[in-house]
Amino acid sequence: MNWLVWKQHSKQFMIATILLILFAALLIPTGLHYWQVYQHALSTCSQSNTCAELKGELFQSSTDQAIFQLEPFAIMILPILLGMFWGVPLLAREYSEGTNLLVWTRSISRRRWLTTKLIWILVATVVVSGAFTALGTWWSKTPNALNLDRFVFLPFSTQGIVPVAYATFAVALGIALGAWLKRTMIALGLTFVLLVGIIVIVVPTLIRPQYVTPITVTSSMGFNALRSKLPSGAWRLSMGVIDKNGNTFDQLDFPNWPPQCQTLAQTQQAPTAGSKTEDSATVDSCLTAAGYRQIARYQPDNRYWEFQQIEFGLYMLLSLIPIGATYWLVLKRDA
Amino acid sequence: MEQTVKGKVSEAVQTNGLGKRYGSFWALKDCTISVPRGSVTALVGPNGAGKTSLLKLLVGLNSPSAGDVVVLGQSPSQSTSYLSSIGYLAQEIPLYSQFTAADHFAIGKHMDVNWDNELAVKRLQELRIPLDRKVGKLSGGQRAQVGLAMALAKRPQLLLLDEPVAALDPLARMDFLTSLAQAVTDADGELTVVMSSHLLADLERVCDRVIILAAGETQLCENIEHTLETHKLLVGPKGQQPNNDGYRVIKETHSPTATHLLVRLEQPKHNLPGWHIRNVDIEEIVLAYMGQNKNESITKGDVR
Repeated sequence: MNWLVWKQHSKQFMIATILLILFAALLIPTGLHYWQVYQHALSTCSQSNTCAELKGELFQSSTDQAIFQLEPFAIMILPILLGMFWGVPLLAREYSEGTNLLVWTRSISRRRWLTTKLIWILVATVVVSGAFTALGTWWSKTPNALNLDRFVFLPFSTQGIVPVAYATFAVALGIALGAWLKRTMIALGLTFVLLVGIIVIVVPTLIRPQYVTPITVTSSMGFNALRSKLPSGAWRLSMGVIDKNGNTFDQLDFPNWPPQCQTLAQTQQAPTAGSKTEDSATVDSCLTAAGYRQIARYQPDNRYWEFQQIEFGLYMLLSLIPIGATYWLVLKRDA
Repeated sequence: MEQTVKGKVSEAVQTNGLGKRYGSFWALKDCTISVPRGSVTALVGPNGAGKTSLLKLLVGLNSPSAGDVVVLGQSPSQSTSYLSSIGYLAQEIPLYSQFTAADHFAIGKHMDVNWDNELAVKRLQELRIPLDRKVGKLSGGQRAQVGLAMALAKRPQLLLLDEPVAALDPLARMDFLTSLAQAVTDADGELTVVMSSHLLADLERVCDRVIILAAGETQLCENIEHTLETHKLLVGPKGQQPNNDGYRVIKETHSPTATHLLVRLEQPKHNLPGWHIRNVDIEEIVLAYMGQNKNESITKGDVR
């Protein structure tokens, strides 16, 4: 049985291995280089006290920018590709070519056949996605340190341990949909849509922010005043304005301003171009005096690994649904 | 329980009121058959008659919606003990097209408890079928032989073949049936075969029993010789009515000059006044049963 699984799927495994080697060939040299450049820039800037500007200065060439975008993109689509090209065909091809009838009438039970197939494909999924993710996470130490943004959507979803759980879920879902629909092409389409919907859209925007109650912070009016209250590396979830009665607004529209602040803004609008920050500072203090405050909700950086673990567990538990469904479809449904 | 024991003794297959429903459609209805051990049975009927459904129930690939089925003394299941006693060749002969015949035999080696690799290899060598070519590149007849070898090298007690020759050209068909007949001879009464077919010419060559299925129901299940003895064509003058005395009319046709009745006699007697009695071949009998059923379903449809 192990022999048959290898015979049927070795090609897919080889393709993944080749892609992994290509990925390593790109990431290892660039990762080493970027880290070196960053460290060097760090030692220079600390002397001249210009380290805050490094973010806009380093790695601005189009090649570097392309690599900085390619790396997270590759890790993001890896689970989706595995779900589509490893998961879906596993059973859909057997059904569509009728070979399930050939193997199900050998002398071993369908349960053993399915269990062997599932164990191998899921182990291979964890190993392959783990290797890609480990490489990507190591490579990302430069952008993480430079941008302090590992908690926001794409870095969070493409580093640490969560990509392995996405891949496991994606492959399990692909297998189940392939078994259910029995036709590779339709199952591929549905798997793609569902995985993008769940992994890329729904979980990061609606579910992930809720794992732990976010911290709320308020400040006097003005974006800079608020930003100074947010710890570095924090994942900002929302920003707005709260009035003295506790009503919150996404933003405070000009017509709703107190009249004295409206007049102030209008008198300042015309003559002195170039002194804009000062002007808005006076307006901001006018608004603050009228009882308005900036408000923001965020997740602090020290919750990063807690969030990784919660999301990992969520996807692993979620994987049990398609796996259970697959057993039901193979063992109980008519051939 | 009693039936199980009895099944073990003489019957390879025994079904009682067996039915299979897909949604609201009954693919097989009230099917009662028995297949003695060591027999070679043809399962005939038009497309959609439930032949495939019946075979899948016997293999244990599908589970019945109604009735009982006992095969080789047990109910069909997904267990090793059951599967190892059954050889099955599915319709359209599914094989892994990227695998060679030798690869397929390796599947048998790894997954079948009684696998006889020598037998499988010898069969293909005798037929000069290359073992090292991808089966997707073999001819239809050669693929059918690989499929048959996969089923036979399991050393099954019951071989179930679903339309194995339907897609083959006449020569390949003959080769296949010859191989099958040889396997039955070699097994010396230890192998029971049930083969579905809608090609009537096949069955007389290799089969000794016939089951006729039409519109999901069993029309006939018995020995071919007995079938030939009890089914006759009665020819009488135009307008003569059947009186159903000692026979049952299967099919009635009227020509401008004569009345033809294909009947089943209650006992093989040869004295029916007013009728000429003629022998018929198995093909005519099968066609008569199929035609009869078609008329019945039309009537039923009208009533609804």
